[in-house]
Amino acid sequence: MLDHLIFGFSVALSLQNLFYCFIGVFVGTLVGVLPGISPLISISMLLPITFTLEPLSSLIMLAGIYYGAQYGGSTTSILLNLPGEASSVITCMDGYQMARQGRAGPALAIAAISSFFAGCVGTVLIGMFGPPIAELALKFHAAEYFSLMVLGLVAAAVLAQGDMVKALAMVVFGIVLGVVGTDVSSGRQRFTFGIYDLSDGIGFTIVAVGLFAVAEVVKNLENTETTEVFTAKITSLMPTLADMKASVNPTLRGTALGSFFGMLPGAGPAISAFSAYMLEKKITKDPSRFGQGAIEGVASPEAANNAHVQCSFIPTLTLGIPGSPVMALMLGALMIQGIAPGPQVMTRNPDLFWGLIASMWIGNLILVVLNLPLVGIWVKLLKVPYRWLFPCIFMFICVGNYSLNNSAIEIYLTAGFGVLGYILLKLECEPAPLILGYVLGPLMEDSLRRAMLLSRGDPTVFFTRPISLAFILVTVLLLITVIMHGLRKKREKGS
Amino acid sequence: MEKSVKNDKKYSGAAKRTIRSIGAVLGALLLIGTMVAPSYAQSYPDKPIRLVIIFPPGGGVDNVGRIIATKLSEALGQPVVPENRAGAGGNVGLEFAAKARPDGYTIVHSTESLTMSPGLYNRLNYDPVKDLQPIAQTAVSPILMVIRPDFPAKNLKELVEYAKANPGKVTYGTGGVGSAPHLGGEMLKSLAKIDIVHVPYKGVVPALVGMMGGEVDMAFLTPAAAAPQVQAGKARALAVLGNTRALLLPDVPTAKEAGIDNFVVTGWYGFLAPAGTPQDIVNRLSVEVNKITAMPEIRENIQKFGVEPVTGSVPEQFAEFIKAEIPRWSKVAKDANIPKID
Amino acid sequence: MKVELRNNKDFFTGLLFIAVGLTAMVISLSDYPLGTSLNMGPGYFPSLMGGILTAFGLYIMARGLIKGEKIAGAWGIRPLILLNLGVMAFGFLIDRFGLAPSLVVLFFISALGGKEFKFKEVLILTVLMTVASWVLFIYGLGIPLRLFVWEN
Repeated sequence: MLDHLIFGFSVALSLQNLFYCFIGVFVGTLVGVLPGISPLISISMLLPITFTLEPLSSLIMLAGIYYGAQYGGSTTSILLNLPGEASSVITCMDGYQMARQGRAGPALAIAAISSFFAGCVGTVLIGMFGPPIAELALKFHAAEYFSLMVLGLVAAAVLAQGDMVKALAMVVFGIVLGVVGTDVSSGRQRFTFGIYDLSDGIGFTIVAVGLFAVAEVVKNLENTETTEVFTAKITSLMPTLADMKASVNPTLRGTALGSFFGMLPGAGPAISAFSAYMLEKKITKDPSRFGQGAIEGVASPEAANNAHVQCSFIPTLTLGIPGSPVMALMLGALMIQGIAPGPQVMTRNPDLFWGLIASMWIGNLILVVLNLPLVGIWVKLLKVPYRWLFPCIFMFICVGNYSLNNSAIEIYLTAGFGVLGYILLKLECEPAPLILGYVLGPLMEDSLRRAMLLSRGDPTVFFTRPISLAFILVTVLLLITVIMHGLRKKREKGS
Repeated sequence: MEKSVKNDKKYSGAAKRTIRSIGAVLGALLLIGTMVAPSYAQSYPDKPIRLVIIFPPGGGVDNVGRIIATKLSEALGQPVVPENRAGAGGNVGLEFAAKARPDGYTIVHSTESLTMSPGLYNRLNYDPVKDLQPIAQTAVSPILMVIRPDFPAKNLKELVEYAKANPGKVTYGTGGVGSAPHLGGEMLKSLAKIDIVHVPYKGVVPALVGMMGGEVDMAFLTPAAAAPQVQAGKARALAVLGNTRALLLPDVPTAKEAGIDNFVVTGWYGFLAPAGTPQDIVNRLSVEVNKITAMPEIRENIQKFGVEPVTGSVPEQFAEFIKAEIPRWSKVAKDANIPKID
Repeated sequence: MKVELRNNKDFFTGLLFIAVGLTAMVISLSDYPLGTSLNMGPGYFPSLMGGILTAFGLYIMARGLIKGEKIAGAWGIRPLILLNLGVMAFGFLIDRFGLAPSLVVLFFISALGGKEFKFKEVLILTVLMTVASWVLFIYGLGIPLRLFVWEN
């Protein structure tokens, strides 16, 4: 193992590979900061350029874009409540509140540091346990995915702040929105009203940007008295010792969750970030701090999405199964270089495999070195008068969402979701459960229907398969603890 | 002594390559940058050409389109800028291209969706034959039939026997309803008179994962997705649904060789322009595209995506092909009782 | 007891959920086959979810009638309309005229939604950001956007 890693470093540390690693993470950070401009688009545009590169260099560069985007994605979430990537929606919740309290610096720094830690762990995990874990992930059938989704949605609603009924309703609202598009099982268009652009569903960034960023700007402009939004004095740029201490365990837990989900093909990094956030909220002593600028609420999901991204290389590299469209592009890059991805990559091209792993570690280091000094610059951005800032936010929203599919309809939709987001905000409905329902809903329907089809309509399949049963049991356990807790509270009140 | 000389050489080679590749990156960026710079050339093309790609980034049609676009930019002296307009099984991009101004500055890289859609949709906002002018086919991609390695049947004949003995028990996964692989599965049902169950997935890769994890017994896939698993022994290829064997897997028999005649399902990629595009521009583009698909290194790159490059495809012949394919697919979809999409 | 409906927070929340839930339910029940639990049709899941959402909506609406909590603060109608109008205008113009004209319109309309509008400032900001977006999006990232579209 150690020899392999040393070998990997010796390959990755060549001047050429370092250069491409830097280019990759730099472009990635940029792409991550811009909402709507996804790593997928930029990687596909850079793909033809990599034909002239050596296989390892091109892979290092493309991988750098992918995980670099996760670092960049958190920046606009924290500063402007504008999620740059799908996975950084959660970071908005506490990160943006920290920024409003003048703590944007520590939030950005903790995001970078916890991402770095998670990236390192992810790298080691790929190296050590990649192949066996990937095999295990194949044991996840439709029944397991469905039970996992149920657990995730129940946990989300149970742990949501404030009004549980409203949160549950918002989850269902999200699921309904997720139905829009082509039905996987029948090929039928649902709720598309004859609009072609809706046939693949409503784009995730459209929903997230509309509900979070547009609604937030409108809210900031609604009262005429205050002109500035970021009025709190900026206390410090770097996290305090107390911040660091508070972030250690959440980072560890986030990394664990992100690594787990990252290995499952088909689960996007947003799921990791969501579950990490919910876990922190469940185990903290004072859940009311969450959503008000709790540093754990930044550290844990950031660690989770970065660990996820690193670990999603496992099924791609060891099985030749891309877990996401980005990974499919990476496989394309490998194939064009004449390397057959798949189970033999580790033995047939050890320089490639270990070189990439070593480069990921180096890339994460570059990212931290790149991002920490940037914190000061980013925070200065908040001193720009808000009347200049908000039109620029809208420029990024429009250009980003347009370039998703070069479709004007998606811009109109963004405006629609902006209006909806503002109404929901005024009605005090948290948007996060809706987003979760929106992400998990289609997966849930798909796996439910497939599980039933494969079991010939026998619903016991969810209880007879051990992994699925385990998820169901955890769900039940969660519900019991919540109900017991509620009963105890009631009794205390009664006596 | 000798060794050190060798090392020096190697190093300088790597350095040269580095410089070259940096140059390539910068060059490409500059190329993209020049797209807004005015140009005063007299004849076509005097401004950038928009290449609509009907599926999202990352798929075969995108990759092949981009490979050709890079070379086409060099040949025409103007950037050919790929633009993904995905959705509705490719119909978003096709409609866009069909309604674009027919001046040669909008072309589209399509797939077999063009010929399959009339049989799958009740209503299309464009006419696949009348509204689009074929330019040249670029690649064909045969569908591959793969099966779990632990499945009792070892070849296509045994599979048909097994399915006849166990009606309704064998399941097959595909990347979606109405895709070429799905029509392949339905074709098998009617040709071999067997009852097998279709399990649609959201994409080719989930279908592959489902087959490898044992969720479904077999899958109809593109060679690009299936070949690595077949080579690694994680899946067994029963047949390739083409007239010839697949380049990536030369050991796999065609369906005809494996015992079923007329079992041919082949996807394809090709360039089209809006109808009414001047004939000389169409011919010029056709000639350039064919030159590119004949270049050895381009052929090699296209093949690496598991599809087979086509050269010498002239507009008239490509148009005939499209006209012939549409009723064929419509019949398969009808025979298979695939409900039409509104 | 007279119930005040104006600005009743939960009443309108419930109304929104009922509207969405009922729409989903009615459309899926009338247009999409339900199927069976073995082979669920495209209407099964959305009609179920629409029903659940409607039920939640009814509950929240009823709760609003009892509790009568008000929506806090005034509605920012002006920024809501102008900002989203700016976005729509961008969408309308981008395919027809290109990035630069769309950005000009977006900046001016959305800036009108702000608290203070200074023509000169907005003009400078627009020019700067249009140049910046050309450098960043078109030149730097190579996104297929055109600064100006002259045809059509």
